[in-house]
Amino acid sequence: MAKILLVEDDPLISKMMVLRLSLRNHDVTCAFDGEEGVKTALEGKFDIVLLDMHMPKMDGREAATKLRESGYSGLLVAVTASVMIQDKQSALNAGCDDIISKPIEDDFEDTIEALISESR
Amino acid sequence: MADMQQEALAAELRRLRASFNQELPARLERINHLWRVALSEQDNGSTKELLDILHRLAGSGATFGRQEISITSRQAEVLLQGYLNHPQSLNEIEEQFSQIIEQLNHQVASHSPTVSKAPPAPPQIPLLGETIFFLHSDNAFAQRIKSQLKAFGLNLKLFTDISSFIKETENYRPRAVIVDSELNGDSAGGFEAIKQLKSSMTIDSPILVLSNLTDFEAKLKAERAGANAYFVHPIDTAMLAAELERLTATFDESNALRIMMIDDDDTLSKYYSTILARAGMVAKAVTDPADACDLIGEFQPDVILIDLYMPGCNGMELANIIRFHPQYLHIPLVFFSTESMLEVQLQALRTGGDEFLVKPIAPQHLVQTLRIRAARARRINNLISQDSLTGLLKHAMIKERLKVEFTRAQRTGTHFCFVMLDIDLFKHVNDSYGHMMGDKVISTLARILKNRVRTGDSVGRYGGEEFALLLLDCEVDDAYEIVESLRSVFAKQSFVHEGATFHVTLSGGIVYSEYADSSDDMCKLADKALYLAKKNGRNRVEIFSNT
Repeated sequence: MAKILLVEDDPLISKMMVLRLSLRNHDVTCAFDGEEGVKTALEGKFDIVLLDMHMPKMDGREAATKLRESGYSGLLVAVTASVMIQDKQSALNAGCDDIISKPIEDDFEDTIEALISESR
Repeated sequence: MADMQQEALAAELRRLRASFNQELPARLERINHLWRVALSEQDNGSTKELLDILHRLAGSGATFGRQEISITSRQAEVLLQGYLNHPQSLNEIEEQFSQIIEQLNHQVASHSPTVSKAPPAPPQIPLLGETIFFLHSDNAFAQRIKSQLKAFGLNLKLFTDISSFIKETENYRPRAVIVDSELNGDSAGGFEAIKQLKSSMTIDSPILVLSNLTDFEAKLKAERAGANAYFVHPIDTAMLAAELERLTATFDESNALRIMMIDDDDTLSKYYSTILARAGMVAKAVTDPADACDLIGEFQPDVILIDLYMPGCNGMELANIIRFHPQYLHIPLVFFSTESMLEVQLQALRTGGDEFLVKPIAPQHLVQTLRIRAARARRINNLISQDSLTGLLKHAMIKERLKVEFTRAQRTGTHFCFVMLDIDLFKHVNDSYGHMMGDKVISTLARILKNRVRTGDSVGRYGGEEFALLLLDCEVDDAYEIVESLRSVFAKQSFVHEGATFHVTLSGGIVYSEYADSSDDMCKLADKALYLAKKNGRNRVEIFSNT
């Protein structure tokens, strides 16, 4: 049972991920853009923050950078549909701890749980 | 959680999938609309929005049970992204892209989620870092090499132990790796280290060995470990720098391998072109063999794929015709056909082909074969056509490029500029500071030129201290700005010799292709402009004008 923050602008994807994680008994909070994501992450105590890299206004990379600059030390995971390594590298450089690829695979929930337990 | 809640959630998931599928037609409408607008108005805004939708679809389709939608969207996305990175006319990708979009429309309309196995994910195109990693065991020596290579514009990061080295490579792809064969007191420790590196490195950087060992045994060990170059002490840093340049040139993203496919079957060519593009190569499909020879000159392919059976002219005949041209002798020819009879295959190879591939072929097999052939051909060709000190094109290559571009300019009406650069008082540099210093000055200028000139343009070493630039699709004023900037940057470079600092300048002459009658004429006129620059005091740039 983990506290998860999901920062994702696509409503369908967001609902999908919330549902799947809820089926595993996790408590998921949603933010729909980078700014909201940063604010919510700083206010709450989340075991993991999932950041979509492709959002309008403020994307995942910017959000990660802002969070790290504000001293946020929790688990940040980038979620990206990009296949280019430079995009993945820039996510890591921005301060993300790991990367999950889209489309979301069947073992998505397992991956999240493994990341959380590794970070504890 | 109660079973009922689980069941409710599962039902909700099913509803979400249905929602996704229901939304698809509307998204496709938007895609179709944006594509039409982009084509007719060549509008960047629509293209970007189109890319966005495709990116999202690629990233979500499979999640909602529509894997085929993810795959097709991804194909479209990669193709469109490629166009945005190397702007050509949208019409060049129009047919290919339209076909993919049609398939997408078809998939949405038929709404039959396929459970076919996805083809391997598009190979990732890695970003090359600028730094070279050096694993060594002698700090003083390593520092010396580091500062000497710095003069050639190469940045080194030093490592003394392999574990921190490997850790660093997990997130960074070094441009190249240099390893001392002697590590930790073990004279062959370096070779073991290389084996370790190769097995743990997920990246493909070339590996250079520096060694005291000159025997065959050692070189064999190096080769087996996977080294790409072997230098014996005392190290000639200019040679080392040149080799580094040469080994890393082929890893330049912007220098993608070029494949030409000559096949009258248009659809098949387009399909394979997409596959090759996804693998990071540039493919050009040619359907009429008669166009082949001219297009080879223009496109400069690294490998040519030829269909054996074409109406009008069969593949073997075409191969022979291509071999009539000595300047194309270096390009490997690969036959491609449904022909399964061995005798015919062998006969084809005898006519000057290098390999025979049988249709249908698994995409990955095609990609691997072509990539290996193209990369090797390019490496060999570079050796022939590149100046060894600077890695720039040699005189003959520049002249040929100039000829091709001039013909193209006449044909398309898009003009370009040819620039001649000459280092001022270079003889004085050699006489006062020695030839090694002279070499450093030349390599420094070469590096500046390579870094500041756009991809697609050509840079060559025309003579001892003369350089040439081909600035494509460029007006004279823009060329002037570029060359002025080069002049200024070069003049600011500090060279150090035995404690004394000195500077070197260059002069430049520019000519616009519209003002010349032929490529030879362009050379003469650029030369005239260069002469004027020297006459007017050096360290300046002049443009040729008829007045």
